[in-house]
Order: sequence, then C-alpha cells, then structure tokens
Amino acid sequence: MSAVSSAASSGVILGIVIVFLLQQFGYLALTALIPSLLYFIVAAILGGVIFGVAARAAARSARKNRGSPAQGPPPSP
Amino acid sequence: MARVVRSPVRCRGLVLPALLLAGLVIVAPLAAAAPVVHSDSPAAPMDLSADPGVTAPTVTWNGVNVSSHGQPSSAFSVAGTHSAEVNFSFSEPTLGFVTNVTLQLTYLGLVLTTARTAPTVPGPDAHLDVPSLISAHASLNWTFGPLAQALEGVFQLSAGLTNSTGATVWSETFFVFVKSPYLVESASVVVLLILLVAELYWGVAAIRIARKSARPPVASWSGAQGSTPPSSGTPPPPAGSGTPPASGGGPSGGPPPGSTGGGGST
Repeated sequence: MSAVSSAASSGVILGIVIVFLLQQFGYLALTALIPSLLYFIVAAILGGVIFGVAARAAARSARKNRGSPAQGPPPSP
Repeated sequence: MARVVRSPVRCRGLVLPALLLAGLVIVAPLAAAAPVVHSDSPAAPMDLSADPGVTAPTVTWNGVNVSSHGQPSSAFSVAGTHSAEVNFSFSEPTLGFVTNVTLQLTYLGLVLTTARTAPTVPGPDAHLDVPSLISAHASLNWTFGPLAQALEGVFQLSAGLTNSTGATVWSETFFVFVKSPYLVESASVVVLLILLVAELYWGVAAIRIARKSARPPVASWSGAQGSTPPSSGTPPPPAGSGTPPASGGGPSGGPPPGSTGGGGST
C-alpha cells in the first residue's frame, strides 16, 4: 500500500468517525437509512480526497524540491 | 527501482475498517433483537366526555408539546436511564377509531424499540353510540429499556396512532438528545476521540512518508563519460581521500547527484 493510498484510507475512516462524533454530540441525527448513508459516504469521500490529495501534493513538492539543482549537494573540488 | 514504502498504516488500514464493521455488525443484531417495550403501567382510560374543541392530536413529553421539537437542534435532552411520561390527546372518530398509541425509536432506518399502549376504551361499537366527537387521552410511560446503556446522541422518536387494522392514522416525529450514564458516555466519546486522533496521526504520518518517499533523482552514469557506475551497496569514496574512479569522467569522478537522471517513484 503506497503512502498516498494510506493517507486516503485514513481520511476515509476519519470522515466516518467525524460523522459518528457529530451524532454523539447532538449535531446530527442519523434517523433514516439513506440520508445517513449519504452522510457517511460524503464524509468518507471528502476525507479520502483531502488526505489523498495532501499526500500526493506533499510527495510532488518534495520531489520537485529535491530535483532542483539549487538544493543539490555542491560539487566536490 | 521501486522502493517499498514501509508505512505504519499498512496493517492498520485493514484493522480499523474491520473494527468499525464489527461494531456495526454487533449493533445491528442488537437493534433487531431489541424487545418490544410495553408499558407496564396500564393505559389511562380515555375520557369519553364530549369535547368538540379538540381536533388535532397532540403529544406531550413530560408535559411539553413535542411539535416544537421536530428538529435535531431543538431535541429534548433526556437521560437514557430515566423514564418519560408521554401523553396523547386526540379526537375520535375524526381519525378513525384508534386502537393503539405507539412510540418508536428510529436509528439508521431501524426501529430500535417500540412502546405501545392499547386504549382501555371500548371498541368501535361503543363509539357508534356517541353522537359527537370525543376527546381521547392515552398515557405512555416511555423507557429506553436495555438500550439506555448504549444510546448516546440524537435520536428520532415517532409518535403514532394506529387503528384496528394496524395502519397508522396519524404520526408525528420529534427528537431527543439521549445522554447515557457517565461512564458509558465518556467511554464511547473517548473511544471515538482516540480513533479520531489516531487517524489524524496516521494520516499525517502517511503524508510525511509520501513526502519522504519522493526519492531524489538517481544520477546516471553514462558510458560516454567513460566511467563505471559504483555498486549500489557501497557509497562512493569521499572526494580527495581516495582514488578516483577508473578513468575519471570529471573532476569529482562523476556528476553531482541530482543533476541528471529520472525521477523517483514510490
């Protein structure tokens, strides 16, 4: 499992946990099945996308930074 | 060369969804096996006195009309271990002849528990003798039963009137914010918060791993420079301290790392 997919899966579970927490704290009522499933699905997708995109962006920026000659080691004499 | 990312979430990525799924699997049979709660107290006898003024059914929860608590934000705050007195007032026979008043707790589309009270008034034959509308009242003692130890949060209650065929002739929904006993409440919230923090930690850790796994470009040792690439297991000798590579492609024995080459891949 790559790091990006690991981050995305963490985001998915995080979204589901947040929905449960909102219900526990009284901000959300999980009464009917379909709206509740929509809450869970939307939260899971949002969490997965956010964390996946963040991980991908982090990897890309790090690759770009390491690939630039300005940050490479100086040539030895 | 593909580098394997040693992620701490490799096993956890399977374990935590499995735990969540197991929790749902445990809760669902609990909901399905929840016994129907019948009120032990006998239903209050319906008032047969003529009262044409009462037309719309009203339901009160501990004396408070539930019609103003139809949104989760305005839910009743109740303790799960306490009971509540639910009173129904309606007129007959405008709704047909009501034979049962019911109160249902719904969660995720499942009816977790139902309280039902059969009125003690005579059946429709007796109503036929009453020429005008009658004001009927029924009382229900609501308890969360065995679910009191497990419920926490906002839940929907549905109050309804059913006739002799079992059809619901009228219903109204309202919300209650159930507070579990202190230990259960803190335990469930703490478990969820621990899960939240753990997922945040693992998510951030995975992002950091993704950033670290963006390998630096591998320097290419081309044959045109006339040098041989060093073995991957041995680091190159420090400049100036040892012998340069065989035929010396450049002043330092090769291009600096990072100058050429393809990008890494995770």
